[in-house]
Amino acid sequence: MPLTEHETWDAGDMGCGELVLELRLRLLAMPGRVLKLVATDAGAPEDIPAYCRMTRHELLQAQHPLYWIRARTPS
Amino acid sequence: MSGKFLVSLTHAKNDTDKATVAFVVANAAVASDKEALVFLSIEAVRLAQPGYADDIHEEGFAPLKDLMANFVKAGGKIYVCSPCFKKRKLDETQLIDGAVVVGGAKLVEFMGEACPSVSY
Repeated sequence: MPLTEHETWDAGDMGCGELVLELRLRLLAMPGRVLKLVATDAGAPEDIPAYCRMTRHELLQAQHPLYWIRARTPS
Repeated sequence: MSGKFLVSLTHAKNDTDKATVAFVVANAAVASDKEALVFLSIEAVRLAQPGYADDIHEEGFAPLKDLMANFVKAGGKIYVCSPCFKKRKLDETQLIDGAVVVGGAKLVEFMGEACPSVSY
């Protein structure tokens, strides 16, 4: 079943700390909603899943360079 | 003995002594049943390109390409800094066995709350 995103962010070739810092701000502003991220950086396939595991944002689907992430809700 | 162990390496042909000793120590870690990781950043990302390390052989040590191959064969991981790699316009489709291009989040996850590390 195709995923439906509430917002899309094309991060282009942004990577590493820059990418996850900007991603953090965007996800915290949309709790419970789904962000479709476009990230072409070669490190993204490893980084985005790791970032989501550490921060409790839910990586719903990953098909580089596309990532669907449900932003965590405040605990 | 178990647990994680990180070797951070920032040099390649600009300091072959450091590049070599880093992998000697990494091999000691993986031989000691550590979950060992070598993080290649700055100039060291060049070591992830096939053939680059072939002519690095410090006196008194095994050739670097053998040290690296043995590390991976023993289960060691090699992470390659994505922005450092990109800055040098290296080919991300051409990587040695066991090397993975990552960003900072992957390294932070590996290190967790407490991880011994040594830097070269």
